[in-house]
Amino acid sequence: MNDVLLDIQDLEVTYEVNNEVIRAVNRINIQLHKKETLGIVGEAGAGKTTTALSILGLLPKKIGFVKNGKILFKGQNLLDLEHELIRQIRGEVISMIFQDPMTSLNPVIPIGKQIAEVLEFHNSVYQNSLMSEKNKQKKTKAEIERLVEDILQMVGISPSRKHDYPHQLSGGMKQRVVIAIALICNPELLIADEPTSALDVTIQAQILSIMEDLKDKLDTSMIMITHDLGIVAETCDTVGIMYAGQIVEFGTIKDIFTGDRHHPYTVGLINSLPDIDSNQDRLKAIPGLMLSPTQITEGCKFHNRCPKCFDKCSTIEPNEYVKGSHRIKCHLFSCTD
Amino acid sequence: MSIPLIETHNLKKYFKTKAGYLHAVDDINIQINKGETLGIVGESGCGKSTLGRTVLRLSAPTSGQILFDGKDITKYNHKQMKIAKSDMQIIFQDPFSSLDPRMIVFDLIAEPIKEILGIKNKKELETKVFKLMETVGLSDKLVNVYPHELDGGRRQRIGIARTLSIDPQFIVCDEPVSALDVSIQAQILNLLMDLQQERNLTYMFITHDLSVVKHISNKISVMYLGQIVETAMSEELFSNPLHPYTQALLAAIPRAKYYEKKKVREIIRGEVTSPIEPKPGCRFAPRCKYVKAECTLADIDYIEISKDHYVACVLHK
Repeated sequence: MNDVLLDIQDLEVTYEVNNEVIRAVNRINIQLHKKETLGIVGEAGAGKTTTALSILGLLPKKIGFVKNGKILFKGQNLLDLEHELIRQIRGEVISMIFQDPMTSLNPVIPIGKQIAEVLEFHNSVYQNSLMSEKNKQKKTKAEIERLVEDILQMVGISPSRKHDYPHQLSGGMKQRVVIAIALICNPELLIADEPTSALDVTIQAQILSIMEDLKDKLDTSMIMITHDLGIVAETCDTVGIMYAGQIVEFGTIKDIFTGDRHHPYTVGLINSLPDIDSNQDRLKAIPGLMLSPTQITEGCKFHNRCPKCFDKCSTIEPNEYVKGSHRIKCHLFSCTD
Repeated sequence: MSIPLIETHNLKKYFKTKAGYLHAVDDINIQINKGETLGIVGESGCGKSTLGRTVLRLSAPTSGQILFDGKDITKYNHKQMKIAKSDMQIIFQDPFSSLDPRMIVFDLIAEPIKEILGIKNKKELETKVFKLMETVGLSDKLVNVYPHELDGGRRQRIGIARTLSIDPQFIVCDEPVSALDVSIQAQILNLLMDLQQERNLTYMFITHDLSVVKHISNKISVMYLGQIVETAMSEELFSNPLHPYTQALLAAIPRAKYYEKKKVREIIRGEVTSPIEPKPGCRFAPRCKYVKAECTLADIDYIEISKDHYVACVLHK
């Protein structure tokens, strides 16, 4: 297919602290098509956020390193771009919503101004080949003001509140402001890192709907990072299940939630969710803990917790089993076809 | 008939603020039978944690009664309360901030045994601590490590061991798994259920997550702005939710399933209103899609609709 927007190839990221090497992301491959939503699911420490940060070039300096791989955005490798150019892309072409709305806003600047700031920054500079046509014109002060009011309206905040400070807003409202900031430049790719984990369920439902509506209206593609398989099932088109820095299973929603060929970790993750529509008594927990990313392990990273582990799992790293859009990194399947 | 171990009658906890009284817990009546679990569900700010703390008298109630084993503990003085507290304990939400970072695992678990049970004998302490670590599934190799060296699941196990160390009958679990990953969350929930069976413990399980509470609770109460709007047996609440707020909460949970067509999300409007000096009538009315004039006229009675199913809503009389 030709409409691939983002293509991550063999990405490998490490953090190096105190002579210790932490392998956060280990050779992952992800493709995102235009207008689609890709879910990245995994537990704390699986490397989800690190993947997102490397797309935006936001890995902590002198600690985080991309060791290998390419991040192709519309065919151009983002890792080759100069620092200045990446800064222009950030917020304008690719933008990000961070997990915690309480800490991602500046407490001493009114929200309207924080939204306008993005436009002003991207107004003051340059043009580049990755930018869309409509963003290339300079905007006047009045235009910026109007755009800010429009976007507030779109995320469901009355424009009259643009002079409010973040502390005057509830958690759900703050997250709406963060979404407004992320979408004000009409980005082509939106990365949402656990956008609703800090919110209550009824507010979560509101925020997810706003994000879906705006995504459709603005033709944005999205990467949704979450630990909640329910959110993935309801919002995403494709999913990557991450474990210990690897994508252990990748496919469409249908591939992941139906059929009987799955990575044992995916099965464990789904089974350990309390299902409110069934009446089971005990939860099927996955025993044990994720291996520390500082350990060098041979074989499959999940083998120490896997109920189906057999001899070669602990010694040989599994290849990917591929069937159509569905990929599984597990020895159970890699021997077949 | 099973006997309630803990009961509250018209329990209220108000906080004084500049704008007036904040009704955190407003006229709550609950009963938990021995060996059973009552789930308390609600969104942030609904007063569920305050209720848990007030029931244990960690914060003093404004009015109302708390009966523990038939005795009103609101009248207890400090000394009597200290004795009563050895039967009533709490597991806190955040295993990262509820453990002293400068104490090793052994001292953390031994602390309540020394302080409350008064056991100082080293040998006896050691046997008790190792026994507890085994009970909660902590390897005895971890006895000399500090909390920061452990992951969230293990830290929460320490929290549980501390709670169990003085052998309480009643435990308030205040969001004990919400800071944990799903696979670890299931381990801790299973542990809590096993312990309940072994020791005939009584739980009040506070959470914002309906799917978690279903597994562990016999009965569930749904709270909204300081009041209980619906109580029913766990099965009944999920199969036949009556209050519009309960229905909305259930509908808002994303289900991990494949849908042929994208599900239309049902959304309740607005946000929780202020709990400071609330107006009479149903507190959910401003967000309710069935709202009628009578909803805001006077407070709605909390009545038994069918056996063990209570609801406060004008739609159900």
